[in-house]
Amino acid sequence: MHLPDGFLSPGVSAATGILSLAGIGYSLRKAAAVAEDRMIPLMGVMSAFVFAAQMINFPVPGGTSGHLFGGVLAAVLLGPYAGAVTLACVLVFQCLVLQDGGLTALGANVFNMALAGSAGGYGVYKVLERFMGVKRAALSVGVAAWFSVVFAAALCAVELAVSGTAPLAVVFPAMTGVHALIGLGEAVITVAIIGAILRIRPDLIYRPDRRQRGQGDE
Amino acid sequence: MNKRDFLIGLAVALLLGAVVSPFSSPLPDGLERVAHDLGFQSGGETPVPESGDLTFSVPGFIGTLAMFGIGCGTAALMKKRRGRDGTRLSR
Repeated sequence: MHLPDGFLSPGVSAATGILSLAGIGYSLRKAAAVAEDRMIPLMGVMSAFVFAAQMINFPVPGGTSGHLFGGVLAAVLLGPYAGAVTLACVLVFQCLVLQDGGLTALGANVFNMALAGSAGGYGVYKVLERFMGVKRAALSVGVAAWFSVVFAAALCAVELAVSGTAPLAVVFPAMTGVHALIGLGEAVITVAIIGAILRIRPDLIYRPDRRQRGQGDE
Repeated sequence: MNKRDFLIGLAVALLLGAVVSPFSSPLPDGLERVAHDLGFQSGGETPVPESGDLTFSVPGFIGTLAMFGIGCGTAALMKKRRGRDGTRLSR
């Protein structure tokens, strides 16, 4: 879902750029406020993992392919702020080094995926957790992961429409439709990974109240 | 802090990036497909660099390793900033 150069109008490009700068700046501050030692290797591994996983496309019915996006995965382990920062690092690297995603579209890509997808997806997860309980974590994580992909695609469609690249009535169902399918893959993979981590290292799941209970993670 | 688990995580990521990624589906992704179907495809294709070797992607390996460094570095910078401004960050 990495928008290349040329799909967005200068106005949309600039607006999403400003929003993303603000959003990532805010996320950096919030994440720094709770940064612990273990965040260093965890963010390193998550950055590497999300980057690598995004290179692996699986075929989706309809002659398309999808890949893991990893936004909710990162946020469930790192929290919404560090999760957003992690995705932003990956996106910036992909843009600057691999030309995956246009430089003029970087703001939109960061907004759609790092902010709305990762941090926003985490919000959905927490809301669902409140309704469904901690025991049904798999369901909450899965639905949030699916939602994160569809939501990012929806925002992308709106940006394309506002840019005049494609009419909203056509591009919105097209983008959300194919990403609803891809989102299923995202949900399955995210739940599988989080499920494994819950069994092996449940302490790695982000809990905002942890740090008030003292050091505890060395 | 159990370093072993993080090393395993990194190893998995490197495996994915270097060994699994060459087998990635060449089909267009969702956005590319929509752009093509609706006619605003600019003609560019997935710009992930081609690796001549089908079994091991050197760019995939290096990129994954670089991302690990960048992720650790960013977190380290964030943590350092917390230490310095610890008294003022009361949010």
